[in-house]
Amino acid sequence: MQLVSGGAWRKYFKVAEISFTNRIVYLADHFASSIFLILILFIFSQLWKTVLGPSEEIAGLNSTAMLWYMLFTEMIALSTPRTHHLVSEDVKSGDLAYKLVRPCSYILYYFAVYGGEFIIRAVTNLTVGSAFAHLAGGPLAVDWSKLGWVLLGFVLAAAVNFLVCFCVALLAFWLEETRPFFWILNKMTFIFGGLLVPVEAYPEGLRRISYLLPLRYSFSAPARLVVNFDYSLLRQMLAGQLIWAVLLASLAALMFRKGVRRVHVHGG
Amino acid sequence: MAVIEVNGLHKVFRTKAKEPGLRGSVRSLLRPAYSEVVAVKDISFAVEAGELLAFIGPNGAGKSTTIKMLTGILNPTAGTAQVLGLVPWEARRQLAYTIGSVFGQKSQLWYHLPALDSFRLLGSIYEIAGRDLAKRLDQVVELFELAEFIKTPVRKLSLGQRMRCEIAASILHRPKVIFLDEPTIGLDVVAKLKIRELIKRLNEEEKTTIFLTSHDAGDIEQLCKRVIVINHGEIILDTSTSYLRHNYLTTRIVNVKFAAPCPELRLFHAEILKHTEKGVKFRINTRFTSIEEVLGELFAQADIEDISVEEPAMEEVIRDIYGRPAGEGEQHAAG
Repeated sequence: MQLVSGGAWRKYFKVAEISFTNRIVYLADHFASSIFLILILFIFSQLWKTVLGPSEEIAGLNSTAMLWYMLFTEMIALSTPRTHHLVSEDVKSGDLAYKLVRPCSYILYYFAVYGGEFIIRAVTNLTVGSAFAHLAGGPLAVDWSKLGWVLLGFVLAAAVNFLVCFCVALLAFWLEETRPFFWILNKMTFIFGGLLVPVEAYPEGLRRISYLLPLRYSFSAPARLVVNFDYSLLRQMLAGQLIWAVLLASLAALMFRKGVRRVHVHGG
Repeated sequence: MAVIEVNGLHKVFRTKAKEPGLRGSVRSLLRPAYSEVVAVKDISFAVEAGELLAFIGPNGAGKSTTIKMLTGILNPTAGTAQVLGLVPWEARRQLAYTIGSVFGQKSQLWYHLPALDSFRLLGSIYEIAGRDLAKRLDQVVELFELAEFIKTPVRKLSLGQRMRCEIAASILHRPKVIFLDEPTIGLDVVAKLKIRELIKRLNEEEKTTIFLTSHDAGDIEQLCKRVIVINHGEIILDTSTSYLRHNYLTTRIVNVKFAAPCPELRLFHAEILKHTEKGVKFRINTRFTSIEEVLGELFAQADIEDISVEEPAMEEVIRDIYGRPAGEGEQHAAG
């Protein structure tokens, strides 16, 4: 059989494509779930208008910019597929074994599944959310020449977020239940990811902890970049995202190798 | 030439042992205890290229563990194995390009999409070039008669149609060996016959070596020339299917529904298990009597509306093998 050149990588794009196509079936559901985003944005748009008024700012962002900031952090949070739960289930149910018989990397396969689904969710959330933010808070001044950098930041943000969730999911190799850890991660994301307020507005102690964690590179940093583009923030964000992506990918690979060895000992 | 060679393969699992109750749970947290389970016990066999082999046994016998070791998913505790010249657990990714696998209850198809989409994805995963994949798809669609429903979302397919697609998906990359783990599980009679016919065609037309596990004696009788029976992790019989058929797959349970009430019935060559005015259920042993003979007796005494014949359960066959005098149930040369 003739093998395709460059197929080793092309297969993962194909997986992402099919994951995207598969989610089209749920397009109406995705739009419906965007109602939750509108609800959050509505509540916080009222809050920021009251607290900040027409001239006050938080971490350099006025009430309109805060609304758009929140749209982008929530867009990432709500667009994150539950792929990590599939990974936990694979490990717990033993289905992992059946996935290993294919000639592809387990981690990259799920990253591609995650990527395909993330895109469709992000597009629906962004469409609905930006229409609301435009009406409720006014337009966002977009510098289209910087769009490429912003998109790169969002791709890396999604990758870091995937890797954090994937590492937590792989704990299933050692622990029977990973849900409590996802609950903790979710709460940490709210605070240290800067889901509601940019981490730069935090008191010194909280800000320091946030700077030590990967979460703000998945939420706060890219959202801040899109509402208030700045090259020094871009450089710092990309460096942080790349470092965390490499560290977390290495950790995920190590955990996976050790975990699979455990399956060999304890059974599928 | 042997495509699968297994020598002294042994697998022991270590599982956490926990005493019942709260105290047991706390103790297991503080001082976990482990017990060892021998899943596969020192098994050896070889499979020749082009062979269609049945690897059978009851639940928990070690069939799936053996398949997992032969596909490289599990490392053995001891022993060696080679599949197509490769040690599976050392070269799993490389081996994956030359073998195929279908696990009856695990789907590799995307539920909401037509099977064709999954086939194209698998073509990419196995790195098959576009033109070659298109040609192969045509062949597989024809071989498995999928044209009618290949563009239908998998969730709308019947179980039989889905299983045809599952097997087709696993042979797109022209594997030399295919592992089929319970491919007919849960299928109705018609779908089972179709799957059997397709497996046979796959073996004859593509010369694919097939390693089949099944609970269904019919699968083995109709498909395989050789059968290995495994129980408690040990091979208890390695023989030809005809030997198995004549010596062990000999009992049949026959259910008969009468067209008119038949209160009196005498069968000299069968053991009646249940008899009512509406029907009768009886067991026959084909070693000593033929089904035709018993049916002849039956037709002479009653008007028959419907008849169904059940094959012996795998557990019954195993019991029978163990029940024979020493020597009779040991490894028997295949042929």
